[in-house]
Amino acid sequence: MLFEVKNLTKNYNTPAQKFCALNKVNIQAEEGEIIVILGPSGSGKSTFLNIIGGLDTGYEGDVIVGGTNLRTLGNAALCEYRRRNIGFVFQFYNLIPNLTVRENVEVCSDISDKPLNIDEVLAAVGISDKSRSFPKELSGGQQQRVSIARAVVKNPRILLCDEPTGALDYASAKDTLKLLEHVNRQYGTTILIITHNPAIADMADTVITLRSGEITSIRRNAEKKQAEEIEW
Amino acid sequence: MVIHKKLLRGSLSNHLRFIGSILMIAICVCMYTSFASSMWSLFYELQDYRENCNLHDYLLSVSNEIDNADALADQYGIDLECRYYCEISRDDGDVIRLMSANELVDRYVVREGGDLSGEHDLLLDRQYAKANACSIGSDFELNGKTYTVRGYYTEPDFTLITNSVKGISINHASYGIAIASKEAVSSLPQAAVEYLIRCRSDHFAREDFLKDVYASAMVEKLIACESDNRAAYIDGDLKIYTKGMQIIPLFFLIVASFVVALILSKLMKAETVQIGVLYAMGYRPMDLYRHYISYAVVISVCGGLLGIGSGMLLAPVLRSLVTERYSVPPFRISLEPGTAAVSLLIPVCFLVVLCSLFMISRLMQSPLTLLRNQAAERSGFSFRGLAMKGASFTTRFRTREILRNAGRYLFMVFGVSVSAVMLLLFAAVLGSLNKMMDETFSRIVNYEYMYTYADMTTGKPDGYRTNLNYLLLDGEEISVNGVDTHNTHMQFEDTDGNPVTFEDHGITINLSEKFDIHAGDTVTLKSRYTDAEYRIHIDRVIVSYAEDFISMPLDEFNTYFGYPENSYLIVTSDHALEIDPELLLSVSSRKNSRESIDETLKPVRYLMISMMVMAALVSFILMSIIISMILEDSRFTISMLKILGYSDKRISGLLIDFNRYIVILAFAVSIPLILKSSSKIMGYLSEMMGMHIPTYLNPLHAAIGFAMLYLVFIAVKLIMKRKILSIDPAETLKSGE
Repeated sequence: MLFEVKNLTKNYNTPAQKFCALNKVNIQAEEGEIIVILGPSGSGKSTFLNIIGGLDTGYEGDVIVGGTNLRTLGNAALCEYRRRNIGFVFQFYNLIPNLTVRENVEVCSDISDKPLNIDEVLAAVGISDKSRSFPKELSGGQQQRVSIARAVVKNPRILLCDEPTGALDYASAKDTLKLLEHVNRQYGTTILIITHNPAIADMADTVITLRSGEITSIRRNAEKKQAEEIEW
Repeated sequence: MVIHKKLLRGSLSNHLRFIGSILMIAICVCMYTSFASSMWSLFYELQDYRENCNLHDYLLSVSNEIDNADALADQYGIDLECRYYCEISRDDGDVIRLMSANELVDRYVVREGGDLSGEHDLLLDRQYAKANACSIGSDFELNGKTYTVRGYYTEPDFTLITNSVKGISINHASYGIAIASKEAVSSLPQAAVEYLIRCRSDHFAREDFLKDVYASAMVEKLIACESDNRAAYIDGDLKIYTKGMQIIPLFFLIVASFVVALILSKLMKAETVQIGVLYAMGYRPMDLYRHYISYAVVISVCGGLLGIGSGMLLAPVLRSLVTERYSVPPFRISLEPGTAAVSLLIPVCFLVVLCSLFMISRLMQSPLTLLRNQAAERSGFSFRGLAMKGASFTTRFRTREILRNAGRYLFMVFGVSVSAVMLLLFAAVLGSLNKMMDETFSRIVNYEYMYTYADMTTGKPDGYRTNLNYLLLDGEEISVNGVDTHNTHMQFEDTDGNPVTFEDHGITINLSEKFDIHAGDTVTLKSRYTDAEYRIHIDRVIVSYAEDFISMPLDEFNTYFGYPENSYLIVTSDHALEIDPELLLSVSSRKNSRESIDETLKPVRYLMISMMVMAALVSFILMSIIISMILEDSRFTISMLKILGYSDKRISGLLIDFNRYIVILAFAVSIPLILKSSSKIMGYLSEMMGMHIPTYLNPLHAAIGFAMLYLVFIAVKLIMKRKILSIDPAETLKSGE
């Protein structure tokens, strides 16, 4: 088992109101799976992703990743945890604008103990010919490819994707999903995708649905589809 | 690490900000380096020069030659050299102090041309020679005799060429010094004699020595070298310059560091999400700190190096200012390792510390907060409790703008106040110097000519007489003046503003403050050479700017000190007098005195005016950067207001115009500060310049200072209006700022 979440509860207390983002969530995931978390806005899926990624703290329950309980880790240890285990893919790519494509990928390879070959990763995401371009010279889909390459080059155990297709057109979104599928296959990386788009659930091994901070369903895809076959 | 490429590319893409920051640091370092390298070089070279030329420790004026000078020199372990001198008026009105050439103490150095070889040879000081086009080899008429100018020279006891030990005024065109052989000068009938004393050890039995001298010659004065402006005034100026070089560039450096730190904080704010991304990926806070601090290090090192380079280019200009005023050897400017280290380390330390404070506050945020770009909102002011019911939209908008940017506006008030203080301070120095000049030459001094005799004389000349005696007050030599009671050539006022007559006893304000003597006190004065004590009751404190003395009626003076009736040393007149030049030590005219004091104060005036411009420039930079940053942060608001139909003028009114109140507030804050500090600074300057400078802030100068600041604001406003005009609402909304 790669990670196990037990009775995870997260409350936000603001002067105006008390808000429960996650309420006693329990999830288990195996190494090498693709997990899709579905849910509307405010359902708690981003909060869940941030907690698994070691970005958010101050919750109740246990989050055990690779045998380590994240709740027991301080800021420095969480930083090391992210450095060794986690790759992030953001909805709006968040590339560094004044670094080239190759340098954006190199930024992550620099801090990894066991990085993948940068050229191989660029080739794998199909962006080798743009390696000297700057982000502003690329389309949205191309920028997302760079973002995935940047996350993958660290050779992380878990790739966390926050609405990876949310800002893309249909064709680019489909390319991105195929790429994630390819990364999962080639490098055995566990991928956790959060999305509004229910169609993406078809390519997952496990599909978790959240609503108002609670799990409404967890199902395993008996016959998961190839990303190529998904339509919406 | 590849992340460092971000630094270079970031600098290139924000090149104006980076170049501006580097230039600001460079200007400060340039000021510091140029002052420090030229002044320290002068300081060290001056020490060597004085040592090599055997600068005197004491100057002894006597009535005639000392019979047993060599024996006294051996007995007291001193070098003792006799010098003959006289001041000679030339046909064109110029005055030359002709002195015999020394071989032991205060040795001269030929700077250009050849050495003295005959009785008709002469060496001139370079400044007089240049001002009067006296070339080497040319003839020089003096006292009806023709000399040949063999060359130009300097001597260590005349670094400031002026006509008295207390003089500060210089006019190279009308007063100069020259040396000729001992035989040539001693044979002149009006030649007076003085001895130059250089102590071979620290243990010089001065009082015993004077008593021994007194046995064979009448001692007129013994002046320690440090009290002789001609030798030591340069030290005071060096002290002012070195103090100034520490304080003024440091002030500008602090302001520049704050501004650069603000620019960097703005850069970090713009990169908040990037920082969050890097943090989320596993970059440690220390990695990010090192990366962003390298901006500060690069800016300060580049600025420092550029400043050192330009400072070394500027240093020769400062050197020429010194060599114009002082007669010193052409010293070499070198960059001391200490100066270079301080020039680099001060900006690095300031910037690193300030930027660290900004960065640490940002890196304390969680990666999630940074990713969501919530840091700025969290640090903003909470408006929840601020209802402002009944206030107009404009008032509410402006109030919230001020509160949202409270830190920046406070910094702006602080920065503009400090600039205003500097501006007013320089205006106060300027006003005080002008007032001193006006008071002295329009009210106090009413004579046209002053004649100083070589020896005491008696009679009733066509003018007002003054006699002098030098006595010790608390161990310090001061002048006691006997003045004709009906003298109208010097119209002093007392501290209450009443006109002073010379029928009673007065003391000048400088001495009064220095020795804590007030009207009604009795002072006890001692003779340096005998055991005699003199007690004088003080009736008034006299406001005098350039001279220090105790005054009493001439007849009473002569009787009290045992001088012949009607004896005097100085006579003042409102027209030229026919006096045998051989009897005179010196002649001065009011016009020449005014010109020479004007000449003396000219560099101070230029310095003050340039500092006022600098202070205005700093406030311009400060206002521009802060208002520009606020407008940058308000791009979205400005775009929305434009979309809603607000005119550019109205938007400018909402966001920029109220800054005028900040300028007014900053100016108002500066007034009590200036009133507190200016008297102290003028006191310091007075002490350095050896004169009483009144503290006076001319309201006109204050108004000009305010007008300068307000004009700066208007200029900034016009520039910022263009910035508002350049904001394209469609672009801003599209970029999702």
